[in-house]
Amino acid sequence: MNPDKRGMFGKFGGKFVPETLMNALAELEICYRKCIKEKSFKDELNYYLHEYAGRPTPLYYAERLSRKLEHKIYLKREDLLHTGAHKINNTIGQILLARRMGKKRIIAETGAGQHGVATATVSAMFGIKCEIYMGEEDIHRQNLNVFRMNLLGANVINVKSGSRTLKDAMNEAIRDWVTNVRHTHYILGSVGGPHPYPMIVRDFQKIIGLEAKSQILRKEGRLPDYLVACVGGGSNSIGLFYNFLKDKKVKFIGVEAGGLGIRTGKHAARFKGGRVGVLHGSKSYVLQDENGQISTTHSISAGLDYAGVGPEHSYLFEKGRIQYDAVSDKDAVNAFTFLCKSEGIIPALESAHAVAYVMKNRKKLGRNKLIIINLSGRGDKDVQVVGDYISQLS
Amino acid sequence: MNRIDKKFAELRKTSGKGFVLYLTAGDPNMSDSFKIISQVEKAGVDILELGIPFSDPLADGPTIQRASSRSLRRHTSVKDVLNLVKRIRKGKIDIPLVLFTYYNPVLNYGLKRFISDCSGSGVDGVLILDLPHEEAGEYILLASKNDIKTIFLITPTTPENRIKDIVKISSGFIYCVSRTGVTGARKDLSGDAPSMVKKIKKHTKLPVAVGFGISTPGQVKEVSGYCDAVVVGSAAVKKIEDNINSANIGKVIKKYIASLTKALI
Ligand SMILES: Cc1ncc(COP(=O)(O)O)c(C=O)c1O
Repeated sequence: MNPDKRGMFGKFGGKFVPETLMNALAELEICYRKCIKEKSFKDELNYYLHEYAGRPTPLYYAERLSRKLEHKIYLKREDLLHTGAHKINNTIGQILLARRMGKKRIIAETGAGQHGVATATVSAMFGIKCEIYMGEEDIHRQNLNVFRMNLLGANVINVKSGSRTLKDAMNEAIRDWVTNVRHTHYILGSVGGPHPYPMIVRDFQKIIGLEAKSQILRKEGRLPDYLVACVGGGSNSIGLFYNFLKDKKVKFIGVEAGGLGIRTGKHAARFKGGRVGVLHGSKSYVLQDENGQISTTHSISAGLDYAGVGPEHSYLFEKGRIQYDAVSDKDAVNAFTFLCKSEGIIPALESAHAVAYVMKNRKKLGRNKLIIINLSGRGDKDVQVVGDYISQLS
Repeated sequence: MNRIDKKFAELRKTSGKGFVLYLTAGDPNMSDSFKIISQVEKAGVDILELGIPFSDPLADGPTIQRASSRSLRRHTSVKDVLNLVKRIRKGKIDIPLVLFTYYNPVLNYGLKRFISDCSGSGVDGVLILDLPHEEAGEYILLASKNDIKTIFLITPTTPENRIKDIVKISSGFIYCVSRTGVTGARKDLSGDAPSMVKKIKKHTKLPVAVGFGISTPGQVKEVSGYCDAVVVGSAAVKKIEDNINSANIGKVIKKYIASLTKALI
């Protein structure tokens, strides 16, 4: 569904930002609506997606995982994209928009560092100055990606406010944008934030589901029973789901970070512990305390460690079209190591949450179901964190 | 008559300029906050903006971010700030009061309940930083029923057609932000401001206050030359931070603010 004129998906979304940014958002929307109609823009986007990023990605039949779980499981291999995650689908699209708007500088927020790397990469490719905001906590746990961003010529800014994670990096990125809006484009990394970002980022990510649909029809001759993806801000999941939403028989599961357990309060499961609120420019489910202050979240996976979620997810949650569930740190690490050994694939800890959901709920899903799991990224960045986690246990 | 309207009517009669002071409520704690507020009218402040602290103040610079954290460390809530306002009114302090905040704490409190409790506590106006006029329909309706003024920002990136829309739903005064950026003291003021004020005045008779970055008597003097009121925030908040352990913080801040209000032309 497309949001209404105010950028609302039902009662979610909108543009809750300081006045300084309202004109830039309008400008971005006008540019985007114009570009997506132009053949030259679409050709350029497709060119870079194929020749530079490596699309289409395989839909891989995970044979040993399937045998173990007694379902037929395919993995959508976004981890094989250039830079190692789905994030580059969006950054290529947005940098092309930024060039058309004549912006001379790029900024972005990052949690796991994957969006930061994908932004630094396209900025390097087009020779545009790039600065990435990253929380201090995430700089420590995703140090490999910090090094990559530096190699790519980006300046990584250490954010020391608040919980020093994604939420705070996003605050700083917005403050920068408020200040430098005339010549800077903000490449937001997920389907959150003010309109038109949730729509634009989804549209750049929906290629995942577009490919997956024709691939599964070719391989299996039918639509899948389940699509499963992890939900941080919600871009890889909506990217996979979007082109199936009208197919009534397909079920969708969004997997949030259950952290140390919902009851401990140390998690990032917005649909379990959150309420409707406004964070970073849009109305959506938000983890907050009784006074409306935003909660600090916890997840072993930096990319899911965020108090808000994209507004279209809240809309689809309330409509009951997507079911959301949470998976703990422990189960995610188990799925991580299992996928390494059984399929020879090191997944991102974010993506491992989606795998873990299917492992935990294999009986609940029925028998012999056809399932696509979105492998949103690869896990090189996470080996240190997983290593530390495992050695702490023993 | 609403205290804000009354204040600007008085100022107009004497051709005087207004001084608007921003302070974060509950900074550094509620009792000192009250002490400071009790002094500001005597220091020459015409309107007081009280910030309800929010965990993620994305339009604020480091100074007000730190003030918000100090206040939130003591869990200052919307209710606490409304109680502070009641206490101010009980103390016979009749200064016009504007609550300045972000949308989430208000939404969480309940918009309707918030506006009605503002009115019941003695608040005169509200400014919600991340609630642009497009999202403000219900808020404006509720506020006008309760005689709460709705103050909106106009910034250097606001095009003229938006200015027209914003002034239509504004009341009390217009807050003109003199440059793009977050709150915080700056050495140089933007050159845009005088022409912005002129442009706004083409479309409204409402008083125009100019703020964001004003911190010295010289700047207060300069800015009051071309608008109806000058807003000072971060500079005063910084002064509180610097005197956090002072036993007579109320007097210290009063003296500092008086040095600024004296500079109005
Ligand atoms: C590999 C990977 N998957 C998923 C996410 C979560 O974001 P989203 O929900 O927008 O896909 C991230 C974010 O950093 C990521 O790096």
